[in-house]
Amino acid sequence: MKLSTHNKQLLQRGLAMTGIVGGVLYACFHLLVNPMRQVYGQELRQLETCTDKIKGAQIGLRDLAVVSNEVFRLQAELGVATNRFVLRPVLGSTLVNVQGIVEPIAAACGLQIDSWAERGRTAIPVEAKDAGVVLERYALEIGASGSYAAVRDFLQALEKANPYVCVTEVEILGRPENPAIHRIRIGTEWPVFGERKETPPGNKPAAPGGKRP
Amino acid sequence: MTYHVDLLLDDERRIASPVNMRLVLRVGGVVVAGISLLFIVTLFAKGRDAKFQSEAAQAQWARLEPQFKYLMELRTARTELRASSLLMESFRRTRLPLGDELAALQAGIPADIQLQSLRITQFAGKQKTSTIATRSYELHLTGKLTGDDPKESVDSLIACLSSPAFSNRVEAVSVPNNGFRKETVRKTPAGEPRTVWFFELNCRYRPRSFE
Repeated sequence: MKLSTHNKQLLQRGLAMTGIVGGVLYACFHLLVNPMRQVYGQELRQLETCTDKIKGAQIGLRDLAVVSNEVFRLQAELGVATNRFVLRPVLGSTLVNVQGIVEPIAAACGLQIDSWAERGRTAIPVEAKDAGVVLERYALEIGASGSYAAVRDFLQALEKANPYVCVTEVEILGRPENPAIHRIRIGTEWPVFGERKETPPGNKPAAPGGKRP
Repeated sequence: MTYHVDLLLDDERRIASPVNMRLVLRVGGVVVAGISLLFIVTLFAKGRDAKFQSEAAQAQWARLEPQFKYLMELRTARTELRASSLLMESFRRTRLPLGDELAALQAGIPADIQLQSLRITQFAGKQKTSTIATRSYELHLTGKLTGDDPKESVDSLIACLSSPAFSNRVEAVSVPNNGFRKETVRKTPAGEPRTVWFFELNCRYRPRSFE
């Protein structure tokens, strides 16, 4: 069936209109709608990221007072403990420091110290790689003579004077020639500051402190 | 039934539909354009809204960020301090107060036991179920007895070390093989022979964990 000339013209105009409208729509989509959608999507992603960060921060900040109090408490406790009880070398000698602590206690308890023997430093077998303070065990052996009561009093006084000193070994041997005075060997371990091993850059934790905002 | 003869030429034909095609096309065009415009306007409005919200959120984040950074620094500091405290506490946690232990032993040892030696040693170990390091102590006593019933005295000492005064620290008390024996001794080579009982005793303390 052949179309009439009028209908042909109508069809051609219809097709042309459809083409123009389609083209305009296509151009609109690519030049206007698509970039707008991309921008919109980007904004939404940014918003989502930012909202997540804010939510996380708000949840975290609820504990700010608790964390802050704990940090100040730990700082205070650790400050007292390390300042008072962790040994520092005197002119490069840790032994001199220990002697300064031990000798008066021994004299007060009636224990005569005969010898000192440093047994080196060892690491503490605790997994604490995050620790800000590096501590080691300084082992020292003390040879002495005195009565059982003198050893008992000396150890009690020493352990009271430094709650972190660890008496690792005690040997009391009777002497037939003098039953009241025994041969005594005391092994001790003292907390001392160790040297920090350099952490590779990037693994180093952020320095604590800073002013409160 | 009516009949008619179709005498129309092809170019005289018109569409039979009562709807005007031109009108349909115009209305369709307007509707499509309207929908497109509405879509674009909506998208634009949503984009602007998202931008405003994003800016507001970023402003809020900018206000929160210093506090949050401070919190992060505090958390890092807390981790470091906790680890340092753990190191410090490991000294206190693992030590057995040997001064008090000597005092308790002095009070618990029967009067007819004469100690010859006392040795407390420590050795490192690990917990049975984990790799956490422990410090353990062992007490080794040797002595002699002068009483009428030496076995009762040693039993009394073992009972003392197993009593509640020690049991929270002591894990096991044992007399090693040949740890209780009698010997004949003379004060001088020409002196009267005398029977003396000797004993050895091992006492293992509960391991103390470093963590």
